[in-house]
Amino acid sequence: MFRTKGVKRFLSILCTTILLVIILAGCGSTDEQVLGTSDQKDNGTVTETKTSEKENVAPEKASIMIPLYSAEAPPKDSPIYGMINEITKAELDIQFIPSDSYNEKINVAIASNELPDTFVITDFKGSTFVNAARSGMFWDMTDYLPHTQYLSKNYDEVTLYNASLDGRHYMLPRSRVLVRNSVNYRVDWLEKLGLEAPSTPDEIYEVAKAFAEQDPDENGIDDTIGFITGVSPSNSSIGGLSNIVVAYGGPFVWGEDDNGELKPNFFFPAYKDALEWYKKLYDEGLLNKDFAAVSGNRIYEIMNAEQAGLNIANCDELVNRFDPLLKLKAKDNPDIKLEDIFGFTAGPLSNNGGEIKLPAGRGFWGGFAFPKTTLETEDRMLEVLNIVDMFDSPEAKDLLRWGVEGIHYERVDGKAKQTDDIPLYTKEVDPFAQLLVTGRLTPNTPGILPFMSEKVEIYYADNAKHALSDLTGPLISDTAAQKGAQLEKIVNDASIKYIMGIIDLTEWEKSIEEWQKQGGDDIIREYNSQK
Amino acid sequence: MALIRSLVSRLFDIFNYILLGTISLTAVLPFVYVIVASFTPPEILAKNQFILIPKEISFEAYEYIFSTSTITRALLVSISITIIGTFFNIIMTVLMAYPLAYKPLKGRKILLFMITFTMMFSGGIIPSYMVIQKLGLMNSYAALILPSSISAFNLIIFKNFFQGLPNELSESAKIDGCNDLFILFRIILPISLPLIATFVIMYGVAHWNSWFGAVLYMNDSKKWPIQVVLRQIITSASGIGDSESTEMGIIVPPQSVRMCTITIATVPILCIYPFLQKYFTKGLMIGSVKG
Repeated sequence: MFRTKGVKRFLSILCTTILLVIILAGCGSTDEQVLGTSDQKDNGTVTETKTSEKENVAPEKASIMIPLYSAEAPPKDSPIYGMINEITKAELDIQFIPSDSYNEKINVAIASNELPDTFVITDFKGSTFVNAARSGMFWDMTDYLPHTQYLSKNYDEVTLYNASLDGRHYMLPRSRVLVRNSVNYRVDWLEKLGLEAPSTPDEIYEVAKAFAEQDPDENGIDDTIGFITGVSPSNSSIGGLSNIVVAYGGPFVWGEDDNGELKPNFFFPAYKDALEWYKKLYDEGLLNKDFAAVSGNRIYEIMNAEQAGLNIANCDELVNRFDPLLKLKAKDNPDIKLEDIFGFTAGPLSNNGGEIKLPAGRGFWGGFAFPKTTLETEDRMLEVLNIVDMFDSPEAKDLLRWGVEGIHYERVDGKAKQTDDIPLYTKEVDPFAQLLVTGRLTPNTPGILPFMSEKVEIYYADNAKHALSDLTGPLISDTAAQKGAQLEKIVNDASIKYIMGIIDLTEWEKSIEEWQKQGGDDIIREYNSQK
Repeated sequence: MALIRSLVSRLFDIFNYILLGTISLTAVLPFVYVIVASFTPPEILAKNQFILIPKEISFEAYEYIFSTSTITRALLVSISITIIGTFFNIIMTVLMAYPLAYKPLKGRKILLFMITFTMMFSGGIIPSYMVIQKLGLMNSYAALILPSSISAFNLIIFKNFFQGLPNELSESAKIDGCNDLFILFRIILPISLPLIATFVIMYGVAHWNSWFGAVLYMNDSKKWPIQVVLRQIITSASGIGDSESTEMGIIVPPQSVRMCTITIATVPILCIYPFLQKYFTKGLMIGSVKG
């Protein structure tokens, strides 16, 4: 029989050990969702302790982190994996991170100094990356870029400028389309009502009025919305509003006022014109009444249900969002194509003609950063840079964009034609497209695309020259990085209320003062000091 | 008089039934909608109607979902983590709570203070990540099970429950010559079944629904639980608002596929409840102490 005292002692020792382990494990529940970027004041002190395991790694190995947008990551034995290794003459270890938690994961990895050899940074204006880059945690690629074999030739100036930080390049941007927004509408409805494709705010209003009042879906019920929009969950910005501001002669998001000072668009008279435009649509019942509660995919559900047929959005959204509607239409008319249902036009353009200006994105979606903690020597960094450079080589571009010839695509007249097995492409090739640097925009082999996609590509190419960029592209404001979205919310919420007639213009003006008081003035000052 | 009162009380009963029924409907209907939607052909769903009785049944979404091994594998991962993790949770919590319920234990106050301290303050996400990293648990399921093996709050509930048990139980067992472990496992635990059943559900559901840990610690996508895959299928980039550009060419799965994934990810954990139901209804300590 045990002496109970002994057992008790044993138990208490056991429990203490367990408790200690728990305390060591931080006991922080890891399931908490971190909201946005935590204001980690990581001053980026690079620890001198070098992990020995990294030094005896063969040089041609490289680990890479990229975001994943599909349901599953390709396995190591996927054909693309082997072929990209061959092209880059390396052994890549690609880690696919779910796109919606990508920023948190990267921020944690930066803060804990546990980074792969290179990775895509998407939140390049977030305080975590900016502070880390400024404190020298990443290689400055400015002087190395001109010596690359492919990248030096393939980059365009606007993209590189927008992706710079304090005039230096701490990441190599992955080029994307500059002008993506367009006015999207139902072609068949326009034809039915005998209208022209709308591009100016006035024309959009006319078409919205017709769509709302003349029963374009011919069901005899007054159930169609003229112009559909929604609100972004992150900062309450109203869909299409900043495009309408540009059409009325304002800047895109941030621009220079008469004194040459950078100001956000709500300081410009054009913003009020745009608000009035929305208010007119709302008052006349042409805008969806619940726009303040609608976001993202809901808009496409409503459009798929044929309750709306006009919006301002990225034109490429037309290509892959309307399969249900297409299937439904195909029941009556088997030959129907997407372009028989939807069309798009450049816009919104100014009512008064004049120079065409279209709101432009940054021209890239994240970029490759090279951490000094993992790439300890210049030689090692150059090896990895060479791998990223090889992603831009002609054969890699073809592989990452189209897949393997004979499996994912066929060559027809020197163009790439996708095989019918789209699910296979989505599963095996699509995730790797995140490795493309400039190849997303300028493929080596042009593709034979469905007519709608072809139109979208032409639209991109034609309108890049009309790009009106947000002038704060490469500028960094710490205040904006920390609470920019919350501050924008103040003005955006007031704009929503004004459109809905809850407040008047003087109260809306007050929201700008509020924005200035709570940090807006600091943002203006920080941006202008960097010009 | 008695008749009138019975009529009033009967009316009151009817009113109660209607009220409670309505409230439970609000909880059940969304589930029904999701499950029905997962069996509806995408083009019918696109008409934007609220359907509760399916007119047409199609297994299209399910065929699509199970056409690859992703969902099946993720389900297996989730089930394993939930079973092993919950077992581990209960064992650890009981082993720690029972001694803490023993008043003469040395250092008990300090231990309890330390436990409540962790309830108030947590190191946050970066220290947790570094601990897992330095312990070499990256990419191992232990990273999802070990750090959360004891919840401080649940531990305190267990401790209070053990303290509330009659002392005579363990005393009489001691007189009969039992040691502490024997008392715990053969006498205390059997009468704690209702409590354990409750916490099996609490811990189990927490494991089943957790996803962020997997995103942080599992770089190998083969080891993702169902919730991560579900999020990948559901969160589709939205090109609305003008805050930030979204990635081009994202393929958005149709509504029915999303509903189908939600169904697959929710139904298994709902299924465990009926099996534990009987423990809730049992009397707590019937016949354990002879009066």
